[in-house]
Amino acid sequence: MSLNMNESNSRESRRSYIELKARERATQLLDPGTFHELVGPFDRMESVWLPMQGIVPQSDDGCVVAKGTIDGQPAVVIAMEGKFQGGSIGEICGMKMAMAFALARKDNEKGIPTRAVLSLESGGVRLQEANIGELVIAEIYAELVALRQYTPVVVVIAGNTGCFGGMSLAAGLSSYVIMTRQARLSMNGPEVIEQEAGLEEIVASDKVFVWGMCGGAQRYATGAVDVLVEDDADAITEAVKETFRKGLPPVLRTDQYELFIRRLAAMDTSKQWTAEDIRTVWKEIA
Amino acid sequence: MANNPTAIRGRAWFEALTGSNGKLPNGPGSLLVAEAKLGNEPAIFIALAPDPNARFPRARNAEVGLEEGFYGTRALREIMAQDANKAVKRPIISVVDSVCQAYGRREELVGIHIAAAGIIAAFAEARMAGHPIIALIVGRAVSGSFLTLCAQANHMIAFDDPEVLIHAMYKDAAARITKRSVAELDKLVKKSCPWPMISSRFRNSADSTNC
Amino acid sequence: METMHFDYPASTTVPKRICLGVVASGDLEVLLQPSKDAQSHVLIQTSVAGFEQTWKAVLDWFFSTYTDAADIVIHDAGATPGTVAMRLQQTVEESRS
Repeated sequence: MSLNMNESNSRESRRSYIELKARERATQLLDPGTFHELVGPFDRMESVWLPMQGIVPQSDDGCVVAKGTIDGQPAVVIAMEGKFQGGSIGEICGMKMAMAFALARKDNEKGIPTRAVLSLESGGVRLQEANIGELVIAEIYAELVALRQYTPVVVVIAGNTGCFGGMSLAAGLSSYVIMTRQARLSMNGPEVIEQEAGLEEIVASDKVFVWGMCGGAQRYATGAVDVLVEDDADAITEAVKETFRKGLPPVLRTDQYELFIRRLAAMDTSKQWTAEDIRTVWKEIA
Repeated sequence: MANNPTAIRGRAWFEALTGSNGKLPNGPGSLLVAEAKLGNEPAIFIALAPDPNARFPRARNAEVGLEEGFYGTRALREIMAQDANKAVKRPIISVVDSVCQAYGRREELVGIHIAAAGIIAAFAEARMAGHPIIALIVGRAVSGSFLTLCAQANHMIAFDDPEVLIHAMYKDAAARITKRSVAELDKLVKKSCPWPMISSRFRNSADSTNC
Repeated sequence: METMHFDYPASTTVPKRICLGVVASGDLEVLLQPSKDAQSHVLIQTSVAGFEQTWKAVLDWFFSTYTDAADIVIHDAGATPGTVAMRLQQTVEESRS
């Protein structure tokens, strides 16, 4: 009887991470009481391009950057707000992200081990800011690659928006990826693939197939993701801390190209593949 | 997909600049890599070209696909290793006419985001190691092909030519996703800096972000 | 996108600046901070044009009990008057907590 009550209590006390807004996620990931926002809403760094196109801006451009500590170590957290323009990357939010990584890098160059976490949901580049968004994403990549040699860059993917486009590449560049089952990670969204390649390639409305292709569980099973977590704010915070305790990864995902070349060579490209095909070959060639 | 009648420009310029067909002994037919003289110094040239015999059906028209990503990363890493102990690192010129990334089920199942990230990291780390990286945009550099093949360069040089397109996404797809007509997008191009779709307008936005 | 300004008299001070909400469809973001003079100023940017009278009615109701001298910025993406009223209430509560 008491065991059941404990279980139901812990179920009730389990807070969803996905339901947290970006500012709440950043606060959640930092040690309690250490959250200090940079370029926050009252600085009014807003997109100038959106109002030109009749779209209402958000005061933080959908990106929260905060300094604090994680597990007692100096840290910077970047959290994208998936509900504002799909978490898409525009001039301001992209520069906030790039400069947050740069800030951490400069600290590390001076011997301060500032670590970085990026909490994503993002549809990729903000099309209303097109080329500026692409250039800013290039800056993000440059800073991420420079920072990751000093300290792990951890990406957390949680939320219904998923992680697509230019931000999927940020996940690919990162040291570690922590992901929930509910989220998706994919360079091209299923709708776009269906549009470009047709229904024989993919049926975007087939949710079982789509999550089988790029949902958290499949990505974890194929090593594209390092930690699979429940949608539980405290569990995710703990997973981030444990990940940093591992230190720099022995091999970065972007250095695994020989392994992928071997895997691709073993596959029959004349057929379409299923999620299970990949899991099978990935286990055989590891 | 937007037609890319100029997908051949990458190979044309690669061969003109290097005098080589760039074939790798163990690599996909779409990936061209060769060393050639740039002025008086040796430089590496790298380009993508259409390969109708490519193993991946969705990557036969000079798209940045899985093989281009993983083998391209390997080629760049080999160059970095060769020059690791040299005081002067060879420049790497990325000759770009690539329509975009490959759109396909196989690509997403394997993880094309990892293949693309590989090339990005290789260019970025080559640059950090001291290799001058130059992107020479002779045709299309859009979306994934822009981010992987151009955007980590020290300098981007583009031809002032109507077939040179540098952008986040093609007009028809952008119109669908932003729920505007292509005509409305064209009006925005004239009015608003982030939208330039041809190279001469892109120069303005590139300057303004100090890239 | 429509932009509107409203001013209201004030007599007390904002204890704490607050930002609440998200510019998501049917929702709004509210920023509240102490104003520089003894009045309240409201700036609204809304994606739905033509509802100035409705905004005025909601704000008249709000300021009938709210007396702090506040600079309020509202970024609205089509919230109902009920949602606007609720967010304003929430903001006041947070500023006093």
